[in-house]
Amino acid sequence: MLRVPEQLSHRSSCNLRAETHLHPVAGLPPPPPPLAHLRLTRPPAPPDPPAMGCSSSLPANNAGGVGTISNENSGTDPKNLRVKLVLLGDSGVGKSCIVLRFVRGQFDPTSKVTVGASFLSQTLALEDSTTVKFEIWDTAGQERYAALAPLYYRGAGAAIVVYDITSSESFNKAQYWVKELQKHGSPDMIMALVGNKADLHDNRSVSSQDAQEYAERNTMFFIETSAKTADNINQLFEEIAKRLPRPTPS
Amino acid sequence: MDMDPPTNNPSPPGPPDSPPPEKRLASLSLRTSHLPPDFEIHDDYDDDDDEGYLTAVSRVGSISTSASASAWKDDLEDADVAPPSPSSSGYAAERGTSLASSAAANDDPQPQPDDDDWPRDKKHLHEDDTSASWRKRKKHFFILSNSGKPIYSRYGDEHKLAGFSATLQAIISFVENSGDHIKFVRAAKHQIVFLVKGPIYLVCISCTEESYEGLRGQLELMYGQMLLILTKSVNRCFEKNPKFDMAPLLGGTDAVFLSLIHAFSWNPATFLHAYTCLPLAQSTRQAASAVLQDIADSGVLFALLMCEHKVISLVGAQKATLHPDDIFLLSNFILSSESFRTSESFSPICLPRYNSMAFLYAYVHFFDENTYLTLLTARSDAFYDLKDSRSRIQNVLLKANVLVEVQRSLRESALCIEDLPADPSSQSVSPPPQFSQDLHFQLLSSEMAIGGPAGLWHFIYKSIYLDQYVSSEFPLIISNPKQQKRLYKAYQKLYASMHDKATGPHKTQFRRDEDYVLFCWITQDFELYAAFNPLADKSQAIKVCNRVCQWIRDLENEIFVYGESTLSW
Repeated sequence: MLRVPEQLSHRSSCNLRAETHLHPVAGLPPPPPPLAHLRLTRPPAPPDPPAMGCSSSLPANNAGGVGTISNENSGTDPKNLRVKLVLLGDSGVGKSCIVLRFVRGQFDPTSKVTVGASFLSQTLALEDSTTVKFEIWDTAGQERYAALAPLYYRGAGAAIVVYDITSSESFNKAQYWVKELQKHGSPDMIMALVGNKADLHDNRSVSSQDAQEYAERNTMFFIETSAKTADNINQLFEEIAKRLPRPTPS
Repeated sequence: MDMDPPTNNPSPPGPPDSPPPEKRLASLSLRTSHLPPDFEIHDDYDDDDDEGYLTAVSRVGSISTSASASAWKDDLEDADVAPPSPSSSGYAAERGTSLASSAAANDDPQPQPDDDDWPRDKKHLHEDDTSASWRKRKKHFFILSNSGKPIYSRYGDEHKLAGFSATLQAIISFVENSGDHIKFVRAAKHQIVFLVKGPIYLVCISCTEESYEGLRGQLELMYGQMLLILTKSVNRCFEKNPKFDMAPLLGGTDAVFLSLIHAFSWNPATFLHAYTCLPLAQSTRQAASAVLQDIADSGVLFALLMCEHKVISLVGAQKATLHPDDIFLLSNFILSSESFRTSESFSPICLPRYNSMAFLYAYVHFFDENTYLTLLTARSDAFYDLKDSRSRIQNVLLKANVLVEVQRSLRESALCIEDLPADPSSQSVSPPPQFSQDLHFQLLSSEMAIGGPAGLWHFIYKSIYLDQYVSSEFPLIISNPKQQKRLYKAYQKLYASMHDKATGPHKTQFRRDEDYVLFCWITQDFELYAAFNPLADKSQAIKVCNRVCQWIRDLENEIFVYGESTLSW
C-alpha cells in the first residue's frame, strides 16, 4: 500500500451542509430528549447591537436545505476516487486512534478527547491502480456532540461505527449509530462495524459472533481491529475502498 | 505595615519633576523602623501555598503546611502533567460519563482495561466530602443544578458529592425562599461565594483570602466556560426536566476547567478583563492582520491568530466585536483540549459575551506547537471554505516570515524592567546617589532583590481604550511560579479594591507591606499596576511609573494590536 501525503490545501466541492431538519431518532439507547435544545445550528440574532455581523451569514444556513451534500467528485475520475468517511461511536472506543494509526502510523496511548470533529485525509492506492482519497471526519464521542453528528455524516460515502470489544455499553451505542445512519445517512453508504481494542481480548465483553451477526443483519461488514498493535487497521480501510461504487466512465 | 487607603484624588500623580500630588500620601513615607529587624525578602513561608495570598495575619494563623503543600502540588499537576480526563479516543476508556444520559446514570464500575498507567485521577476522583484531603483543599469550585445535582467539582467525583451539592442547594434556596439572594458566607478563614445563573448554581469555597469580587469574577468565568461548551440553551433542559442530570454533557472537559482554574492564579486576563498581545514589529503584525482582514471580509465572523494565550492579530467582520473574556475563554478551551493540536478541526463553540444562546463554528488549526488560527463562522457548512482560507493565510504568513518572528518573540523577553529608559527630563535629579543610600537599608537582601529603577520589580499596564494589557517580564526576585502567583494575588486584591463599587472607583493607591510596595494608578486611558521592592521610596516610585507609561506609549505599536473593528465595546 502506498501512502500519499495530504496536500496542504485542496479545493473540494463537497461541503458540510447545515442540518436544518432534525428528526427525533429512535434507537438504543435513546438520545436524551433534552439534548434537542442543543441542536443549534442557526444562531439567533445576537442580543445587542442590531447589526452584529452574524446575521449576514444566516442565509447560507437556510440555503443548505437544497440537496444532500455528497461527494460529487467521487464520480468524476474512476481511477482517483475521493470519499467522505465519518467515524462514529461512543467516547473512548478509539476512533481517533484508528484514524491516526491509518493516517500517520502512530499510536498515542494518552490520546486526547476529540472536540467537535477533526478532519484528516489519507490516500490509499489499491492493487488495481486506483487511488482512493479518504476525507475523514473523526467525530467526538461525547454526548453533547451527538446532536451535531448529522453535520459530519451527511453526504458521507462511508461510515465506520466503532465500539470497544471490552464494553458492551459501547456496542449498544454503536447500534444506536447504525440505526441513525440507516435513517438519515445516504442509502448507499458503505458501513463498517468495527470492534476496536482487539488486543484486550482477555477483557472481551462483546463476542465476535454477536457483532458479526448484527453486522450481517444490517448489511455492514465487520472487522475487529487494534489501533494499538495496528492489527487490521489498513485492512479496514482497504475493504472500504474496495467496496466503494466505481463510477462507470461515460 | 504601612498602607495608604485608596484615594479618590482626581488628579493623577504629577509629572516626574513635580511633587507628588497628594501631600497626605507623601507624608506616609518609608519608616524602616516598622519593618521587622530581620526583614528580608523571603520566599519560604508560603512556597507551598496553592492559592494563597497570605497576609501577615493569616500567616500567623492556621493553615497547615501539609495541606497547603499537597495543594500546591496539585496545582503543579494541573499545570504541567494535566493529561485531559478520560479520553474519548484513547485506550483509556472512561467509565460512566460517556454514554447517553440514560446509561450514564447507571455508573456501575465497568471492568477497566489494564491501562491505568497514566494519571487520570488528577482530579482526585477517590475523594469526596468525607475525605480529610478533600476538606483541606484550599479552593473548591462547584457547579450544580438548582435541584442540587452536581455538575462539576474541581476535586473529587461529582457522583459522590451529591449530598454535598444538595446542601449547597439547600443554603441557596433557603435564602431565596425569603425573597433574597445569597452572595457569600464567611466561616472563619473560609469564604463561600455563590453565583446563581438561572437553573445553574456556581459555588466557590476558598480560604485563599481573595476578595469576594475576585472570586465572584472567577465564578463568572467558570460559567462563561460552561456556556462556551454548551450555550445557554442548556437552561431549557431544566425547564423540561428540573431533575435533568447535566454532568454527562460536560464529559471530557475536566482539562478545560482545570486549566481555567489554574489560570486564575497566573493569567491577569482573568481579572483585568483584557487580553494581551505577542510583541511583534509593526510590519510583521500588519502582514498578519491584512490577510486576516481579507478573510474576514469574505464571510468569516472572527479570525484570530494567537500564540498560546497571546494575540498576534484578530479581526472581526464589520461591526462584530469580540469581548476580551471571550478571547480568554476560547483560547483556554483550545489550548487545554489536546485534540486541536492533532489535526485541523471544526467544532461548535459559543462565545458567551457575543451570543450566549447560539453556537458558532470554529475552524481551528495549529501552525506549530503554540501558534494557532481560529476562524469563527455562523455557517455550519463553511468547513471547506475555511480550510481554503487557512491555506491562503498560511501562505502569506510563511512568505512574510510571520511564524518565524512569532517564535523569536516568544523566546525573547519583551518588556524587561532593566530596559526601562531613563527619563531625560529628570536627569538632573536622577536617583543613583540617593538611591544607593537607600540601598544600605536593604543590604540584607541580595542584589537581585533591588529590581529595576527605584526598586521596580514588575508592572502591568492596561489600555482601557484597547482592552489590552502588557505586563513586564518577572525579574529574578520573582522568578519562581509561587512568587509569581503571590504577586498576581496581590494585584487581584489591588484591582478589586480600586474597582470597589461601594467606595470607588479610585484613582490611585499606594500600598506597602512586607512583600511589596504596590502602586496603582487609573486614568481614563489606562490602568497601571506596579510592584516595587518593599523599601522603595514613594516619590521615586511615582516617577518611575511615569516613565513606564511613557515607555509603553513609545512601544505601543509593537505591543498592542490596533484593529478597526475590535475596539468599541
